[in-house]
Amino acid sequence: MTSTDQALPAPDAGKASGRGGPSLGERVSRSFAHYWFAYAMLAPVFLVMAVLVFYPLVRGIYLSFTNADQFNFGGRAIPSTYEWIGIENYKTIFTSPELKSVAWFTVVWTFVNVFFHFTIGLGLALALNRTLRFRGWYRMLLLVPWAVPSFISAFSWRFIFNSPYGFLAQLLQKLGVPLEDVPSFLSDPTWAKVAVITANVWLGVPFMMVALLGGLQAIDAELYDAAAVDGANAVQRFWAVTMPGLRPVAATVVLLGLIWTFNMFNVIYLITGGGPGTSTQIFATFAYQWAFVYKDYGVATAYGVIILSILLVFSQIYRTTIRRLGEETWS
Amino acid sequence: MKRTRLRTLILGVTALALVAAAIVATASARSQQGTTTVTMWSTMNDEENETLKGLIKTYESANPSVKINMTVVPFDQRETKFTTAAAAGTAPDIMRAEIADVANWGARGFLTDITSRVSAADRKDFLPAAFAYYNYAGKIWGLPQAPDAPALLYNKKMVKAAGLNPGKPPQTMAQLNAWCTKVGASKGIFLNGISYFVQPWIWAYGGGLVDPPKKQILIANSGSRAGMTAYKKMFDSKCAFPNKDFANAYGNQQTAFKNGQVAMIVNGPWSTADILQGPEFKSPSNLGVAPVPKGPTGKQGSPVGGNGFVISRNSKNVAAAYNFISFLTKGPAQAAFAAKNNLLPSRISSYKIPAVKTNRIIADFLRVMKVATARPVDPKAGGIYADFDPGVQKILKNQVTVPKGLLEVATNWKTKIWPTYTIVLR
Repeated sequence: MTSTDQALPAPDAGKASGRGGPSLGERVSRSFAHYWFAYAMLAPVFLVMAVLVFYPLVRGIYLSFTNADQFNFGGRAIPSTYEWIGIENYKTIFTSPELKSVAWFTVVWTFVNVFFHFTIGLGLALALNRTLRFRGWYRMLLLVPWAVPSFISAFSWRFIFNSPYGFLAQLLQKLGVPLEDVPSFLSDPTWAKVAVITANVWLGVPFMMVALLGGLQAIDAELYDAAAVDGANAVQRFWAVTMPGLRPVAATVVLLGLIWTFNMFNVIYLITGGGPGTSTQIFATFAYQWAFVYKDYGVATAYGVIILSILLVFSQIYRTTIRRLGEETWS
Repeated sequence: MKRTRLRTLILGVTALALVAAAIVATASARSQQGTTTVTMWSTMNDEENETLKGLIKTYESANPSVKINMTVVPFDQRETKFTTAAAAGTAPDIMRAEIADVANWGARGFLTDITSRVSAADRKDFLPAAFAYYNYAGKIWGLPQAPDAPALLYNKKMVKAAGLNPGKPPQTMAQLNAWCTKVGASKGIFLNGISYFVQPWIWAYGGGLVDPPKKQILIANSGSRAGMTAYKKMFDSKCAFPNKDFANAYGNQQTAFKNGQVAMIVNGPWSTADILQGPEFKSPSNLGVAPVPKGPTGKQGSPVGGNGFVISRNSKNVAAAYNFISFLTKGPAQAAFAAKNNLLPSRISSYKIPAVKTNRIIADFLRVMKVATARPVDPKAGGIYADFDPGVQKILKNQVTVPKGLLEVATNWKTKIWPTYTIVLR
């Protein structure tokens, strides 16, 4: 996202120089004379960004067009011998038999997760927005999933789903379900999908709840009073006051949630490792597989570029939404 | 106020840099005074590293001019850590490598060729199945330390209670089936969804993985299909423990076996230390160890694994490093690892040492090693399990038929690993 922000001024500058006035060089030098201090202050940040973001990005894109793998990659002590092979890696990806299932589960994973994050988060936020006893305690407890490092949560969920020794399987057996009928939570393709999504929903709800609670508290109480005077009941107040008032916050967190969930690696990696078969692989975990298991860096970086392109579309939507909401709020 | 703080900061940083420089200077000065420092990364577990530390002390007192600098690297991080360091030219002199690493690292130019240093007597003394992995492209790249192979492990008490003779473990797959049924519903055997442990079935029924010299992929051939079918049949049978969880299967298998919930499992010598801590094995003699049985055509196999030592390409102390790894793979060192850690020696002669001879677990596993099969020695062979595991799991969960599932594995190997190989179906 940051990289697009940085890249954007360029086309605008080109347009401006076409319209006449001082030339580009003049304007740059004038701007530099005027703002040199600001540029000097930005320089360290830019340098760090260049090393940590721009260089790897450009190199990653370059590698995605090469046959780089473990045998030709080289290093400081060994010369690199990989070559440019054009779009071969992209062809490999788009013709691979797993692509359809991986792409489909990536979509299901992203939207189902964010749907439950939002609805459950909103429900909890509404519940906590009223004055009730021990509200502070509830809030604190509901934040627990967020406060625990995600790999610890993932391992705990893996234990809960363990069949027959995990918590769920033991509970079901205590309730009288015979062992044969206890589901294979992590090795049945459908159950495994349910399991990883459940774990991630649990992990993601607190953030939505906190963000939406903040949004709810920002809604002017007078609007509710006015609606009540007009005779609106609770449901009508929710749709006419709460939802519109929540829109700026909701749109932002949902879009952010989509981006994060799309790229959520550790939950799947640690709970099912993409299995059984490839039934819980998403783009992020599958790219990892290519890089660190098959060690085919060309295909892996090509996956990275594809993921980046998809996220660029998301972030473009995000930018437009934010801008539109900004106009709505301030005009 | 601000300025003084800045000055303090600058002073502090400079002082730190000076101290660091001084340390580096003294360290390099010391190393120039006639002692050679050999660096080594060990991937062993805690108990094994204790034995290693003792051996290092013995070695250093016998060779006062050499200092061994040992660092522990977790086994599952060895690949990433060593390859990164080797590509940058900063790898340690000695690395402990899993056998599948050797050809891979050799082909990638990370290792020193030690062919000329290994004597003819040594070459004959190493167990052929283990030493095979250290020969790649006509050169020797390392020395085997501790080979292993999975065996059929069984609970003698449970087997006896079912009216079977624990002194006569099953010799054929048919007998294994009979044992399983006899022990009883869901208590007979625990079968994994991990492809490594399916390999004995593949070989027993005449199948194979790949044949690098012939450039053939064998995993979808008739023998492999028969082996996979037999494995699935046993996996689905009533006597098999309900393995409902591939993600946790390895741990569950150990738990079930240790607690007497299942009578037989297939696992390697590395697992015995854990098993002997289980309530069923308070008396270690209750643990039976036998080779994985033969198939209908009399074929038998169990994948040989294990670890050994290699010397990195960037090592500046090859002679000293070789001296130390040959010390670590000689009789006395192997006897120490055998006695304290149940590690199988890689030398035939070591099995005559009393401390090794009297170790019952090692004697049992030696019988397994004698009929074990070497995995294909190829730089890319380590990558086969990435697609083999999902394939096996899909077959076991009825997502695909056996022929289709194995063909998928073969096709994946062809496209991702060996594009020039042909897939054998017959």
